[in-house]
Amino acid sequence: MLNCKQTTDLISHSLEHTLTLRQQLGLKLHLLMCHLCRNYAHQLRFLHRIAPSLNAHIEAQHEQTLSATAKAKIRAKIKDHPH
Amino acid sequence: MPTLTDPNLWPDLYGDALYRHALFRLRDPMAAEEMVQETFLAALQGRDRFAGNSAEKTWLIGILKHKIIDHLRKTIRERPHNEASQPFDEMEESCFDDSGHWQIKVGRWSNPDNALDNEQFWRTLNDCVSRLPPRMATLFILREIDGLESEAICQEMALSSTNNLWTMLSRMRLRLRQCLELNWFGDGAK
Repeated sequence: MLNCKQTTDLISHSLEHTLTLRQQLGLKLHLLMCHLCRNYAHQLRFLHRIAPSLNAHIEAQHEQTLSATAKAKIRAKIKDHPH
Repeated sequence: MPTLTDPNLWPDLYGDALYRHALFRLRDPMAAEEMVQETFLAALQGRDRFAGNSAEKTWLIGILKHKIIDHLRKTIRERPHNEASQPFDEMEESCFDDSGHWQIKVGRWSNPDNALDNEQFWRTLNDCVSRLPPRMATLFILREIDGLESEAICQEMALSSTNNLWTMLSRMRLRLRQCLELNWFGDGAK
């Protein structure tokens, strides 16, 4: 019988590769009986599904900017560059 | 011959966009600045190769992506130990008892999709990624953002086996979930 820790590993692994039949059965059985791991499974799948949109959201927030000092430094480097 | 804008204007035109891209991936302001600078200098060097079939900004982002990959490879190889091979993980220790059962409350998140329209939620998730140990943050980027396959990630991160990778991914997801529970979805977060 799987414990919760082994179950959380299998939940994560199931996002990476197809589990063996034995693993699938063990996972199903544990989830039937453990509502904490059921919550965990939903939450991990949720995170895995939404994560790819994170960079678009963060980069669109325009909160971080290159400092004026850094820009000036880079401008000077560009000027010095032989072109 | 496609024409480029005056390179002296690049920092003002594209500096912020490139910086945000680099900062998202590296989580290190100094390194991100350095990558932007290196990108502009490399672009200057390779100006003749700008084909003009993409926008100038897209071309610069393409160069930046390569610079970031080189930087990640370098830092990964410089870090001495391999977190995946460590038998104990402090987060795991605190979440499970000796018999491997939960000793924390794994609450139900009601309608998590409602959070997706809230920009503050994305900021919280982003902060949670920043709080991961550096190797796990890199893993998050390569796996969840770039969607790289296991073999490719093992190669980039110098991991000896996919089993190590899967262990690390599981630990990384445990931390992220916990961070969001504490800072967004949990009863204490509201």
